[in-house]
Amino acid sequence: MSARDDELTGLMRAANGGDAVAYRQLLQTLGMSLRPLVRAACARVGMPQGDVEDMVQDVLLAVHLKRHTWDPAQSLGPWLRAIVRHKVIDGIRRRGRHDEIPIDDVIETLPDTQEAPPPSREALDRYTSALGGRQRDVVRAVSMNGASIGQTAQSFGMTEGAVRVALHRGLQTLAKLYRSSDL
Amino acid sequence: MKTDELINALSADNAVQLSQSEARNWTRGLAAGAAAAVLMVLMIVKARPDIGEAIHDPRFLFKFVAALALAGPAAALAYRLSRPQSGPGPGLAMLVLAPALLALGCGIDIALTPASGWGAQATGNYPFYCLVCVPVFSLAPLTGIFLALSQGAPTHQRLAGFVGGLAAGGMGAAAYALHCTDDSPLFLALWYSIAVTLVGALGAWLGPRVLRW
Repeated sequence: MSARDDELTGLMRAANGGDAVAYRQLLQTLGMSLRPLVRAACARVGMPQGDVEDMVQDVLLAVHLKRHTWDPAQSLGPWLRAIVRHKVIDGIRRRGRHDEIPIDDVIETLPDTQEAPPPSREALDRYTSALGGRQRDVVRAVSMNGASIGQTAQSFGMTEGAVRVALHRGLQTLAKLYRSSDL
Repeated sequence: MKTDELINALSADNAVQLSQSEARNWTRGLAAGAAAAVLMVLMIVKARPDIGEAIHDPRFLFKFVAALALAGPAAALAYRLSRPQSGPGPGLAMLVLAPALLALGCGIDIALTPASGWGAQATGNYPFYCLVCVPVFSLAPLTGIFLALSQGAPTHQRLAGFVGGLAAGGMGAAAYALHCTDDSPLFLALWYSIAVTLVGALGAWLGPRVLRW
């Protein structure tokens, strides 16, 4: 696990230094190793597999919005496992109200396993529709169409700064929607 | 949206949030909270009129030492708990520093004053005023600390709220001590302690409710 931890730590350090490619690679690697883990955790407590992708996205959002709480002098591994553990337990509890969630051994396997992502379009569509006008437009343009900040600014006649703010607020709102949803 | 599409959005947002840092969030929250508490004391109840002489009285100074001996370690612990992988750790033991100092102060006070005066020392002049003022003046630091905590990622939310409340209580107590004329450590050990504990309890109650992420 520690070789993998080192790799992810290196990617996050590069990402913090402004390396967009490293950041994307980190998130993709993380998404792929999270999926089997979340699936196993859901199976363990008898939750429907339909919630898996939802929870993976919830974890990725948390990693993104809370990444300033990681101390770059330390390995990313313990921080990452704490985030995953917290979000997965929270997600399961919210959906099923289980009191005891025996998934620590599952979390410990992060992030060793990999698997291709599933093709289906998941619940985030519902969430992005719940965003306000500008936030929704910007989040959708950047995510679904893969537009850059500059392109989005141009097509909506906004400044790049305004696009960045709308995107960031939109992601924060998404995280809140996940948290409050009673799926 | 597919997960890959979410990753598009997260990558594009990478430049935005890195302006945040834990150290800056906490410096800001603590400094603003402390400044607001002191200003509120000076403007609403005002500094005690004899403060120029009081600063030469070790018992007056001891109030700040005891309050900050709680606020410092409690704030350090709350800061630590705002990181997701952190449990309380050895810093929890530092919370006994202030009670230990208070016990020492009380021992000295008891040794130096005749037994007949102990009751009056402990009751002081304005015990109930203290019980109200310390929590009220702790609200600004409590807000600053909770803002910093909510920008972090605490996983021990009740404990983080509790020690955050103790830190705020200690800061509020230090600010109120500028006004308060009850200087006996016995008074501190009784009334300030109750007031600060109330703020800690408020923090523990708030923690799981407002620190979810």
